[in-house]
Amino acid sequence: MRYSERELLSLSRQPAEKAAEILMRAPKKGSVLKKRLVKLVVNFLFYFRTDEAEPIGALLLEHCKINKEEENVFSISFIEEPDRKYSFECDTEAQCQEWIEALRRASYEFMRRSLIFYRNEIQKMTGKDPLEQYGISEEARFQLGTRKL
Amino acid sequence: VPGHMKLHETSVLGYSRAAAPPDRQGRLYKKSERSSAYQRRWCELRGNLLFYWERQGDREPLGLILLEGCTVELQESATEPFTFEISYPQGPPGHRAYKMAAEDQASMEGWVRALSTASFDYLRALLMELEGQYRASGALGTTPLEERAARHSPLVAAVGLPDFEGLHQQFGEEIVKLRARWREERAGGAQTAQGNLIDLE
Repeated sequence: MRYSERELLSLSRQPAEKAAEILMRAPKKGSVLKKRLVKLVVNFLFYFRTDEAEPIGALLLEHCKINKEEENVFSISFIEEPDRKYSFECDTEAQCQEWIEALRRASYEFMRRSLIFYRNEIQKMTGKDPLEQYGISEEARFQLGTRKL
Repeated sequence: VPGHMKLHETSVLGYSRAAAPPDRQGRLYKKSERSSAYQRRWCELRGNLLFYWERQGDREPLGLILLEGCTVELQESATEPFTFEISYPQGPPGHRAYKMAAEDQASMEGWVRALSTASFDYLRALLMELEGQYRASGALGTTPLEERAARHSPLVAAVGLPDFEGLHQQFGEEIVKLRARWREERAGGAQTAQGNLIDLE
């Protein structure tokens, strides 16, 4: 599947929502924990070797589950392959919880659901559609009822 | 020269096959980088990603275009009607732009509108704006505790949290009053053995 590595690299250089050095393990059998700089930018999780400027990998954070594992550890798995887990071991439990929270809210789909919720509530409270002023009321992506809340 | 960053395709393919309908779908013509010919593609917009297939119904997409940090502009062209361009003005020099052509005016306008409001950043800004309006309309308070509680409990989301500080204050005052009364009664020698220490009435 073709994609522009340049576009992704460019994205990886943008200010991150969250970044930290975390021990990471890929789902491959026999994979070991390796220290990586993990960087959350929009709905992508980039990871770098700690002394390199360019990421070695990227995960799209859609259709995935962020799971709490044992102490200090969380994992990311994708709905299509629930048993393949990317594991992350944090320094502290607090850091672990922060990442879980941040990653769960990092998907486009999560934000979309939140937006639809607020749009609907504001409409109920004020009688006005808050998206009208932006000229996007009719955009399919913001419609209630086209997707499960 | 870019290195070999691995975009984990499982993560992307899963999203491209999501059961929910895409945000927009249809036929577009994409100008090939190599041949400059326009090639017909089946396109589906999901979130901040534009996926394209050779044909509708094909399983694996040919590719995807990331719609972050890009501008989408109509192209005025007599020779190439209904065209628009997705470009990355902040991208590295020499970054390619995607030239796309729609089948008619309405389709072109629809696609341009959808693609130019597709970025995560745009959605986030919109969401923050609406969150602000929601709170200003006298809904839930702004404390992080309420926010977190509301996320876990539909009941809290519906009615809000009680004012713990206020309750604490209130209970504190009542306890002081009761204690004073109890001391009075003891000092007065009244029989309290039968009664409750705390008057629950």
